[in-house]
Amino acid sequence: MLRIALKSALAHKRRLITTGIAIVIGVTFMTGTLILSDTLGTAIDSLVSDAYDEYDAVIRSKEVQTLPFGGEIRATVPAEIEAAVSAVPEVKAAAGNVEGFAFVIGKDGEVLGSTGLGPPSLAFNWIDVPELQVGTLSEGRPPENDDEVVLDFRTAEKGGFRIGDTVTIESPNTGTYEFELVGLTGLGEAGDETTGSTISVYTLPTVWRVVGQPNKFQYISAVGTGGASQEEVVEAITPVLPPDLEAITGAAYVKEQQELFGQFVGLITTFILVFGIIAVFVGAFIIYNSFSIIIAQRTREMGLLRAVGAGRGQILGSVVIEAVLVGLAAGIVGLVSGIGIAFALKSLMGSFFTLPPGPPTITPDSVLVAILVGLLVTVVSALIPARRAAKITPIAAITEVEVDSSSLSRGRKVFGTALVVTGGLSLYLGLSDTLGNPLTAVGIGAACFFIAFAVLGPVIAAPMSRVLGKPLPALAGVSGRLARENAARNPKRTAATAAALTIGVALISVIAVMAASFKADIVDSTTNQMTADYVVSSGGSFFGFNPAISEEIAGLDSVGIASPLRYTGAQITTGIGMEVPEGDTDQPLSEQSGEPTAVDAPLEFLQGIDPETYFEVVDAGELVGDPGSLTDGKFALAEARAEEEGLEIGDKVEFYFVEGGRVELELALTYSEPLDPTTVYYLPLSSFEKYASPQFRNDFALLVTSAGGSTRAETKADVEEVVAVSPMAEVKDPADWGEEQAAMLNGLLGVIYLLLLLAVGVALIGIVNTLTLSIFERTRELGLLRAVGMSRAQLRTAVRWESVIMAVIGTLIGLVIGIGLALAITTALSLQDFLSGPSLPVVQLVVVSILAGLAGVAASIWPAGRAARLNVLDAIAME
Amino acid sequence: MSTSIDVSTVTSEGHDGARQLAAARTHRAVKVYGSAETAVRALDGIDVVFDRAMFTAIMGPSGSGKSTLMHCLAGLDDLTSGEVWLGETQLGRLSEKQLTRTRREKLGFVFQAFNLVPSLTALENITLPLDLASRRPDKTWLDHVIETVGLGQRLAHRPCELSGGQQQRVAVARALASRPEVIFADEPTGNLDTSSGAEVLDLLRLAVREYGRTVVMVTHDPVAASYSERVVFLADGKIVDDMAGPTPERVIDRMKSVGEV
Ligand SMILES: Nc1ncnc2c1ncn2[C@@H]1O[C@H](COP(=O)(O)OP(=O)(O)O)[C@@H](O)[C@H]1O
Ligand SMILES: [Mg+2]
Repeated sequence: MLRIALKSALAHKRRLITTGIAIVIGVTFMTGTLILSDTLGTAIDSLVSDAYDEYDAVIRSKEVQTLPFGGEIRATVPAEIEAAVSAVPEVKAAAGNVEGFAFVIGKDGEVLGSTGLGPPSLAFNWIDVPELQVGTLSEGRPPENDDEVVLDFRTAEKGGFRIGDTVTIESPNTGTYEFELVGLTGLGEAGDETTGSTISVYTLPTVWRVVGQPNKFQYISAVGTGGASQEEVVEAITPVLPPDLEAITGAAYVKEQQELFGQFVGLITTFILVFGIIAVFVGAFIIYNSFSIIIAQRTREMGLLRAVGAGRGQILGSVVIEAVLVGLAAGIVGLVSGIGIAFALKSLMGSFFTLPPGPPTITPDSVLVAILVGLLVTVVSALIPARRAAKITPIAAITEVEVDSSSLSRGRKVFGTALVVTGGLSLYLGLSDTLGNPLTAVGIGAACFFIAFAVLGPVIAAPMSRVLGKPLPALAGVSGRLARENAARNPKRTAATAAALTIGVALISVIAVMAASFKADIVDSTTNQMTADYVVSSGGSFFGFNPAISEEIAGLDSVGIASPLRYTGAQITTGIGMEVPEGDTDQPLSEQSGEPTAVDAPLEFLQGIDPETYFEVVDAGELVGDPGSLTDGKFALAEARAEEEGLEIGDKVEFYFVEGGRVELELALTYSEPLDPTTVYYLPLSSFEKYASPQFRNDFALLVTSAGGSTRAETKADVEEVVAVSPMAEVKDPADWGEEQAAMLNGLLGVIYLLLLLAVGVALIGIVNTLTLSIFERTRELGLLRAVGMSRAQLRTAVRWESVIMAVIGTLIGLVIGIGLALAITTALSLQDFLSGPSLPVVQLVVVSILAGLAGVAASIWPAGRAARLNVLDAIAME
Repeated sequence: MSTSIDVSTVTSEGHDGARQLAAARTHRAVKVYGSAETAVRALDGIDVVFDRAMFTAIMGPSGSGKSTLMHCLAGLDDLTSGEVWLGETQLGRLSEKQLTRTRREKLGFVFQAFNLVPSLTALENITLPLDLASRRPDKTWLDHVIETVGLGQRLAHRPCELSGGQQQRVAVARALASRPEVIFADEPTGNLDTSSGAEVLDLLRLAVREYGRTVVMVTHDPVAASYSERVVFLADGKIVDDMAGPTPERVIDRMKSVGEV
């Protein structure tokens, strides 16, 4: 039987190759990402350990808050601790480290480096102790005076700065500065390696001034005297520290930093990996479909095998062996091309930060994953067709069997309908707000609909083909009619082919609708709620601008109100006991002892406002309580949220700030319309100033109105003059500001769409594959058509329209599922007050549909060409 | 062994009777498959003329070149050397597009099996060549053909719902519907029982007698051959005999002797 399987695999190798491509693409993507992730991981580990390898101990605050997307915020360390640590006999030297944010401004006035999700722009202090220096000077000298700066070599290169040049630095917290460039730095022995971050290094007093956190360090590093081990140094330091500080070994610190970076790399690679998995999943449909078709075509042959004595198990086995061969081949090819992709990506990444020379890191894990995924997905997808093959009776060899006539059972219809009803019910209950969490109900409903679609697909494929194909005979004559009938002829085949496309299209439409809803929400609330004439904004960056700018604008004669907005995060800890961060036994003793430091409560976003003016420039709906009463130690909350939490005016809530610790604030005001539904806690600036960490003490926006006697144009001109000094701030109309906020989503969306296109691409290969196999199957029929006078062009037209029908079916179902799901999710979110409601991006969805139709045309090119090239005589003479 | 050319004037559709034309003919037709040692001369210099409005059968042992001859006559295959003429056109000179048009407009086909497009109904199959040419079927003619072929009740059925005989009758109806000049049939009754076969053969004879079509039919069956007016015998790619007014007995006799050749 093995021989028969091998022979048959060889005989169908062309078909198996196209079948395998679907899996190859998915596997390529997965292994490419895995290898890249390993490569980046290794590179980052070595860069990090290089930077900190001579640290023996790190002294820092225990107060820490983890950010939602990895990374953490830690409280600062008072400067006087540096002296105390230095005084410890086991410590040879200690140095305080400042790590703040400061942007380097290029000669064109624009920020060099990223103000968004990219590598950060960091400001450090120069440290004189050689062991404790993070980088290595590659050129020039350290900063010695208040007007001197050292930049990382890559930034200097990008900005075209040479030693002696004047460099403009913009601090989001304290404003704009000019420095003389005196040296270049970098990581590694020669100072010529980089993580991609923008680094500026100053004298200690200068960096304190720039970052705006005088006499505070992010941490203190220490190097021990020769004889002491890292543990001994840590143990010696710990007693001199106040209870809210801790000392950890240099090794532990390096490991932690590597993990922090690793998390970030992991986040990106997981993100990409998800799409690789989607592609593999789509590929599974194609494998299933191809094997079904191949087996249908070989029914006679298998019947013959059965007639001459092959058992069911043997037939099943032969198909499985064929699947194993395809899967192995796909896994190996996918692995090889994945390595190729990793090579390409590595050189791309290498232009951003330093990667070790040589090939990408290929771990046995990635190899195993590639091969296993290829193998398992193929074999599992081929199992159902294989079982169908095993059911073929010897009679099939003799009788003329209609290809893939397996019936669409009643059970299928009943089960599918039941699923639709259950899903609908679940959605209805969820959205009618009768169940606890609408999102769970929506989730269950969505799962039901997806399965129902898989079950009912073959049932609806034929009628859909006929309905969609209605205009075809009029449009394309016989070719059109044939296309329609061919699409309707094998509903299972059409359904499975379309399903592959449905997945991608459904995901794209979910994302599109959700994004549109969020954007519409932002734009709506900014245009409808804001009564300000202008907004000074930080231009869609993740950082604000210097509050001094706001103050200066507030002081302008032509300005009436100038109300700043700031943002930070805190955990609500009312009624929650403090917990020690989960007991990691690897951590040094000092980490586990002492006061509790963190809580499990989720991070809430806080908006810092000026209560006197905010409610005059923002329509926050119905207010309960007096804005004037929102003084230091009080907070405001959205009415719906307050109700949900059971809070009333005068109730106290405990907030946990990293820098400010646990503080009890009193609810003084509720309002009905939040500006941003995800940020419902409002803090007066007086409290914000006290509790928020230094890096948040900058203004994201300043809402400005004209003063009584001034025209709007005058005000704008005056404000623009003030803003001109900062590359971080811009003057906008409220509507434009909303658009700008909404546009922050665009970059991420672009990446998601791009990656989802991969799934769509795989689905198109599926269409190509199905058409090619079908054409092979219809050789005689095509020959006949040609014999009675069908031209090549007419034949191509028929294949093209068949492809378009399949593509449109897949797209339509995808749109229906995607839009339905997105509507359900957005409605559920609006029930939880995260969104005001769904919004349909009609243009985008129409474009998606048109593109899908065109993609159907594209997918048909090759199979149509094949059909047209078919030798008429071969087709007729074929037995 | 010379080919007898029937010079009786046969015109179709009121064409000017002065010109005597063969419906189809070959001149020194040679078809070689493969090359060098493995070369097979499927047609070995065939000169044959098929007269208008005549029912000709082609017979011969298996592998003698019958199908090859028919495929070449119908422009489905090209000759290695020699000429094939359909009326006044030489097929070898036509482009692929022109050949397709010729098949669609001037030729009809009935194969042994798999004659119909499974996804189209019987009626759609019948009008297929007309539809392909975007030609409006002549309603009276179409009705007449359908009535003659006796498929009135079955027009909306798909091929898989028809018996073998019915399928072949649909195929004949298709060949008639577009009023082609020549109908080629390759063992049209090969898969049918005697009575279904007889119905199909009657139809082909009718096509010649009533409608003045030219029919060229390949067959193995002496009885089928006896429906024709003339039998051309092939052996090893050559014409070995030409019989007018065949009867089953004469054909059987002749087959025996051809078998010995
Ligand atoms: N495509 C082909 N390639 C090679 N040889 C062929 C091909 N088609 C037919 N032949 C050979 O040509 C000869 C005539 O074949 P054919 O015309 O099919 O015979 P018939 O129809 O009389 O049985 C046979 O010897 C056959 O083997
Ligand atoms: Mg033959």
